[in-house]
Amino acid sequence: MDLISSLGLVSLTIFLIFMLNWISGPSSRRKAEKPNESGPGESTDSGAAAANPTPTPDRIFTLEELARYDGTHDDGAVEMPCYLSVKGVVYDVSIGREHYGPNGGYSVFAAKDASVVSLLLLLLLLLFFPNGSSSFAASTVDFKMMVQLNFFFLSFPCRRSESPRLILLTVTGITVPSILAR
Amino acid sequence: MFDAREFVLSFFFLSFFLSFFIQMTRLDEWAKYYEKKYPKVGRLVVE
Repeated sequence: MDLISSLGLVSLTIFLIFMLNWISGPSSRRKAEKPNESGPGESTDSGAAAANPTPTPDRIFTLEELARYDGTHDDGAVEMPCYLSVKGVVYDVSIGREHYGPNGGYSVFAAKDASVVSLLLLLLLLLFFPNGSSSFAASTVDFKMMVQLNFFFLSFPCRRSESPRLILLTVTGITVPSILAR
Repeated sequence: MFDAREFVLSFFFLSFFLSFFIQMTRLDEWAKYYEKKYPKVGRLVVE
């Protein structure tokens, strides 16, 4: 009975998430992209510029070098800039130091390859919930910890949905219902 | 036994769990977000 109900819950969640993404995501993106589309007869320069608006600088970082730029003070009490890497490109996020800095909510992403951090968080979840989510009564995680974990994951980079009718929240590109974030 | 509290919390948990899994396939959009908002500094090389 428990197995059946948990399977139902998993399939319901998968279905709802994919439906919400399908409804809210692509339509708003298509509207935004329409004015930028160039016709077939136009020159290809504008298309190339839109595909790569700012060229990546030639400076090369290793993971050890990137780990120094976490916004903390260096040995000489010099405040280091905040850098993070997504898909092999390093970005300077010093403007958002209050978020990406040492005490910020997104400090997990700073000075790292941020595209791997999410995978590490998945592994962390698997450590916390070895028995699966719907049987947490039997695991070591109690109700209070479950609530705390959910609020922890709500602190990830979020933005409101562009659609006015659907009150949704997009967490790092994925749309979830914003019941807790209203 | 069906527990409403467990059901709701599991739904929240699974939503976040699956969203992390799905976002691994959507790194392009994530990169676009950072490209629009923050300046590029260089490239990351993993040795």
